Amino acid sequence: MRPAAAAYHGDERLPEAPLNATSDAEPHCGAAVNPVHMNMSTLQPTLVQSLANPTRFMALSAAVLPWLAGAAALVIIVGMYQAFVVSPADYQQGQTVRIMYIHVPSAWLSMAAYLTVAASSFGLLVFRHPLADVSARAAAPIGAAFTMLALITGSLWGKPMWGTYWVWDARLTSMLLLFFLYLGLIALRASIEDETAAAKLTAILALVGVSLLPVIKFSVEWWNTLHQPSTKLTTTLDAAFRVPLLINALGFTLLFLALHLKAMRNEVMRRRVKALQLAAVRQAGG
Amino acid sequence: MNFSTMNFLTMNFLSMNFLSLDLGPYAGFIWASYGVAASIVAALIAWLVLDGRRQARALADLEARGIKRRSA
Repeated sequence: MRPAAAAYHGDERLPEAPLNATSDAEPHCGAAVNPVHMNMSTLQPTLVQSLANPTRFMALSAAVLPWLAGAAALVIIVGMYQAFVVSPADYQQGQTVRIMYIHVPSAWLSMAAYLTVAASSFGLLVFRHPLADVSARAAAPIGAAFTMLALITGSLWGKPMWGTYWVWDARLTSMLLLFFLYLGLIALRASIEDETAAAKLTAILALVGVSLLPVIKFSVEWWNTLHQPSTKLTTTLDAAFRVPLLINALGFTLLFLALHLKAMRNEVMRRRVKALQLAAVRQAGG
Repeated sequence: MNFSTMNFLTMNFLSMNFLSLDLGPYAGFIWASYGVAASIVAALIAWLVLDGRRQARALADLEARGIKRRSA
């Protein structure tokens, strides 16, 4: 009897197929089926499970992705116009306040992407959703890129405002640790050949790493840092800056969603390619 | 927002006047930030598009050879 796989590795038959229909599948080529999430009276998949079906995901994402990418591009263009034309210079920071419109959304997304990785990892370990590991794997490099962007733009903002590109204060250091954590997740997965084991171990590390997020968030309150306190949209930020910031944050969020969706599609295809390559070897071997 | 304001903003955008904004003594830091952001996003998009094409090509090639995931 084949154990339920913990991750999607190229077989899109389930959860539409009956529970006993995987007996001819490769041990690591089946989609996850967790009986807990089946309506046991009818053996019909739940709504979430239906949406998590890789074939349905590919069809749905193909339809959604162009609109998402177009919306992201449109909102970012409006956001850049707001950042350079509509937004005034700050009375203290002068023109450098314009760096905020990419630095803050990047920093927000670096943490949002990590939450995506962590939530997907939770979904893999606990609920065994077929696409959970696909989602976690796809989000990690994108999150790393946004974290790097937050670090670089923060550094370029810090030099004219603080007089230095870098200080080892709590906010900057914890963000650097988040970047290393992303790299660790990517490296750990790449270093383990067995994809099921790699998925589980990476998911465990991702969940352990969640503890870093509150440290980043509250570092500016817990410790005396050079970094300014968290941006309070309604109290510490004038509307002249708030609107451009929110538009850019929306644009960056749409961009992240589009990139994540595209990366997930690539990952599903990569796993299908691997499954077919295994099948080709099996067929060649008789 | 009245018509003249809208007209000003539209003309300003179309004429790309904002690119010649005087960003003060720290303009280099501002442009560098936006340049890095554009480069990283462009690299991400290029990587994902190229990777997607590579996977789609490999998948099409295997399917053209008649490879199926199962014998049934």
